[in-house]
Amino acid sequence: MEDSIDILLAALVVWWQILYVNWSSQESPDPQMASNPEAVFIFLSFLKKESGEFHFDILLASITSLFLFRFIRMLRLTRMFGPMISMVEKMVYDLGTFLIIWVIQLFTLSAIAVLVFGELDAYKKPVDALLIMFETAMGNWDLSIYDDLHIGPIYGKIFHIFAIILNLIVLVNLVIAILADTYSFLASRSLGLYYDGVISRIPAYKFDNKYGGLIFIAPPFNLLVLPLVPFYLLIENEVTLKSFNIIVCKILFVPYATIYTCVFIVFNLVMAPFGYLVAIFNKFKMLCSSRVMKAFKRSTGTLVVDLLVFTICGPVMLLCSQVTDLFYFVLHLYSWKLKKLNDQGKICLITIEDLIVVETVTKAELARLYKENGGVDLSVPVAKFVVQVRDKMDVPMALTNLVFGPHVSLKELPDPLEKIKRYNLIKKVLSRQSYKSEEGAKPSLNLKLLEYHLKELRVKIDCTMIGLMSDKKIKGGKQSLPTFEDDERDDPEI
Amino acid sequence: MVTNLNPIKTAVHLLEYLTRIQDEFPVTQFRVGHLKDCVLSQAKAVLVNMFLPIEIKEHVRQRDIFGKNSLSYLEKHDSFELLETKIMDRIVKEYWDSDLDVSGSFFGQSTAYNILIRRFNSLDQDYERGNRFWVYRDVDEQARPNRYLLKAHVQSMSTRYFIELVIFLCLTLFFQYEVMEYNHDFHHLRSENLKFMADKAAGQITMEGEREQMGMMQEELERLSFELQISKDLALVSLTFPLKILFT
Repeated sequence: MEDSIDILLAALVVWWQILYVNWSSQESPDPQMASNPEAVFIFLSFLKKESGEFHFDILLASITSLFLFRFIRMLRLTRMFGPMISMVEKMVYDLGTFLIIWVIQLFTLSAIAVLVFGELDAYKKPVDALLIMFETAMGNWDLSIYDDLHIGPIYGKIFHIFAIILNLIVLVNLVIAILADTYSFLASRSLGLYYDGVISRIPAYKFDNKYGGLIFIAPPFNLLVLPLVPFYLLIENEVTLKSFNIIVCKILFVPYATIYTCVFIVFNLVMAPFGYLVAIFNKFKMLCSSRVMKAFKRSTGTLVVDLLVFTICGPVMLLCSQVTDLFYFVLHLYSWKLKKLNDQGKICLITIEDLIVVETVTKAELARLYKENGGVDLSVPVAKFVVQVRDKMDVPMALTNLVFGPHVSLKELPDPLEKIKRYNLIKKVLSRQSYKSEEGAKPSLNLKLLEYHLKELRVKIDCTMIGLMSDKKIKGGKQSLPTFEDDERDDPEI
Repeated sequence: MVTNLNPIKTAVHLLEYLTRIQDEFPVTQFRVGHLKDCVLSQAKAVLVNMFLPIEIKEHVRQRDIFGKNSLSYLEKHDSFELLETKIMDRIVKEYWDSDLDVSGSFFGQSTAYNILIRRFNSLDQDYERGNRFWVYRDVDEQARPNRYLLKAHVQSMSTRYFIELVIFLCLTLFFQYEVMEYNHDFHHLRSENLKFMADKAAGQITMEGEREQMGMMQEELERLSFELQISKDLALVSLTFPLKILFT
């Protein structure tokens, strides 16, 4: 659809250019008034409009409306407006079906009016009759037009009231019902509608490793790509083409990078005084807080010196930071090693340490249950069990690390995201092991069964390790799961 | 056509196949509609219950002998129900926004900004002391990426689309303004001219008045010419948008 609008818009603009070239090259009708080509064009468009030969203003209106229409179509791929625009588009089809029925009944009523009440001035012409019926449908009518009807005004009025009921009560409510039905159907699928639009545009925007540079930059900057097209066509070697493509992207990124850098410089300069004041306030606050001093292992003397140094040298330091910030900003703009949300090639696996955590929690919970009810009921709510595993795995700390960085959590974990992923996997496995004792009950976990599973797993891992060692794939001593101290409780008979 | 181990591909191929049957034999419309609902509900159940999201992503991305992936079929058949599942949400997002972690701020490298933002987020640590200008920053490891980086531009379709949207909005607004100005001035000039002609025909205008009027109209015409030139240039800029059709 966007492509069709683009082509139509381009055709109209080209038409305008052709008209301009043709008209402005003509001899001026009034050389005193219009001497330059633009003035000649305007003068001629004025004359042609007056004579009714050509309405340039209609061409301009068409181009303007296409501009706005294209913009609305572009909004379709935004999450905020997309679903609503898609819904309106779907509703237009329903409205079209309704309009056909409506127009047919308007024609029918106007035909009856012309044939039966033809003696009246209002119904002399079919077009007038159609307009009267249309006005009636819109809520504007005058029953006094039937006063001079020779068969009696009452028949005319009855006919008109019938038309009013049909249009205003039946059909208007019908269209509202149709649109409400469509809306309620589509409203629950709004996200799907939005994604439908997104998927339809993927082929046009997907970056290709070999030719992606051609669509990398937005119009009108994409004109810069045109001279590079022959190079893209001439390079046959795939590796060279990919390298060339990346270089083109890096060069084409320069206009964007320049704009971004300018914005960054201005913002950084504006923020500097505020940053200075807030930093002093922060240091002063730290000085007053013994908790923070203890946490960061800093003495009062160090903090006082730091505060004084920053108060005096702070402006100079922040001014120097402007340069280094800018350097790192530009470096970061062109950085190619970005983290991925989920590394496709790296499948998260539960480690032996995680299994030990689950085993520890299972044993602790079993011990508690034996103590509480003598092992009669060995099931626990899965949510409660998962919370214990979460705490034991240090997941909250991993989350703090991930969100706020290691400075705030005061404990740095090697790979917090990896830990959270592993925890999620364990959670999934445990959920799969759960059952519901009755309809509506919370899912529970049979700890005895889980313990057996873990034991089985431990044996399997040990066997694998021994097998690997015998194959001399693993050098060194025996590697197996660390053992637990045997429980003192007795297992119930199964 | 539908004999493969990819459940999503199987489902979309069944949908495609059923649609073709419906097109070929319109009498089957009702039956095909029912079967399509069955296929969709089964496919949805697979998407909801599939254990590993990575596996399902691979299934969705897999191309068939026509070079199409499951997503394009889902779009073709308006399978909104499937598109609204959690896993499809992730897949489409990954396609559209890329799988890069672009949660960082544009001003992430600004020392002043970081001091402020950490203050407002109640992270009462001394950021300034640990990040002075002489301290080395490993941007690849330490800095959180944002969506304005080169690689994000390359991989994220939504970023490129958003930039195009902003440029087109500016172009539309500017063009609209210029055309409105032109139209307003054009009608003003037209009414002035008609009045002048009427006065001239009635002999109510002196030579000096005529010269003055002509001068005014010439000025107005020059302004009109300028406005038209700008509108024309802006309209020409719009011709760069269909270039993408040629490239893709």
